[in-house]
Amino acid sequence: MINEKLFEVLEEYALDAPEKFDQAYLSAMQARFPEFAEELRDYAVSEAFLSGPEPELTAEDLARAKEGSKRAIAQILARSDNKFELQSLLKMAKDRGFDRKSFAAAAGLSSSLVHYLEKRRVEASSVPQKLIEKIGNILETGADAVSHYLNQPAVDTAGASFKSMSRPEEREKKTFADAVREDQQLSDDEKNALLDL
Amino acid sequence: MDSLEQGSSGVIPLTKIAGTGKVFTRPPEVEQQIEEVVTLNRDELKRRASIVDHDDEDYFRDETIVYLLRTAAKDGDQVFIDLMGEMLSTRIEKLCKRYSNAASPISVDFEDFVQDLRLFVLERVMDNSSNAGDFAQVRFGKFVKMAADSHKKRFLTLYLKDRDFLNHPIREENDDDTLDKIGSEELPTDKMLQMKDFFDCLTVEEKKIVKMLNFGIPIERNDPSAVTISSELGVTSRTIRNRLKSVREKWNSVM
Repeated sequence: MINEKLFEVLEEYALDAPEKFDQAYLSAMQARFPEFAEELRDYAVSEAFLSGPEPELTAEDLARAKEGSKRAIAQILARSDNKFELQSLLKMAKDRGFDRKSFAAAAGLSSSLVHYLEKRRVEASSVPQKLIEKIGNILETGADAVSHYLNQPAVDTAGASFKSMSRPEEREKKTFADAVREDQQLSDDEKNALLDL
Repeated sequence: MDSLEQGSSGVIPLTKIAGTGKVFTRPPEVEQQIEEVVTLNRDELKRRASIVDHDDEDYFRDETIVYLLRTAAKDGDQVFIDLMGEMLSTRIEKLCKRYSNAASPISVDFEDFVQDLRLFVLERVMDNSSNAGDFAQVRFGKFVKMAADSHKKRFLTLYLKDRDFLNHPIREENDDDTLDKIGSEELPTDKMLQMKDFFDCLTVEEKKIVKMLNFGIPIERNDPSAVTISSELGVTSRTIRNRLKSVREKWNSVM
């Protein structure tokens, strides 16, 4: 476990420390934080080892860094759950250069089906995994983020303000298959392709 | 979340307050690069993030990569999380190699330590619910180093110290005036290459002495509480000067 207080003391030391070692500066910091006098001294001395020629990384070093990064990020994302959740499919699509129409075309959907997904009015469990993966690829977020997004309450009731004294009931979600069948924009072939996913 | 609100330049400002009472600010050259970066399209960002040549004018500073990773995490942008995470991981590897060069060979323990450090740094940078990682956008190298020092019970410091220094026979005392130039970051490129050869032929203990001397730590002082090379390495000043004589001979043969 990290000692947060020590971390902050070292931050303060590093923020204003002279480029070269300065005994007076170190002593002043040690006087302010006597409980970390040893740690400050160690930190100040080992600063010396940051100097010198830039080391070159071998192919082995780079491979270790890449693999290490993958493992670390997987651990971080697994721990953080909701921290990296999608806020909006359309906003993310816009960030990737798509408008609603081109996003729908890329996903093989109609604009109205995109609207249903955006507002989460479709039962998440009924959306084909292949489609979720496809959207995850288009948005470059991965399928898990899309699946997590769709599994939340419908957008127009989740967190929305309302004027009546009671919260309106959440509109019943449709199955994905029903939404496809009722769609007015897709051709029969396009509908069948979606229903076959 | 206040910490994620963009400033007028489109750059998310730092919010953490240092012990001095001042809010952390990025160095001007970092701020300027980030202001430029937020106007780039994704393909250009990917291209530039992959540049590894430090002298390339499009090379991203460490602190810029930190900013991009943090915003990617905020947006749930998996592609950029992976890309920037890998780039930052490479920079961490390079920093750690500086340490391992000072105390080679790399042990299995050291590799485990680097992985722990990588996890800690990436997690802190990506955590948008906190501004605890703000300093990584101010001085990334120092951020990693202090993470190393405070995260693992001073593992790094102990690692650097825990080596044999006294395996060489005592030689006659000599001065160390040529060493002012050693380790200087201001040398021209050809000299830097020679410097690399020079460092490669130093022993572990010689490297440590040279680095500390170049950093401004005196060999010895009358004040017993002062930081000196002698007190840090637990050897006499005479022994240190003997090591320096050997260093000087190598310096003259390489440079």
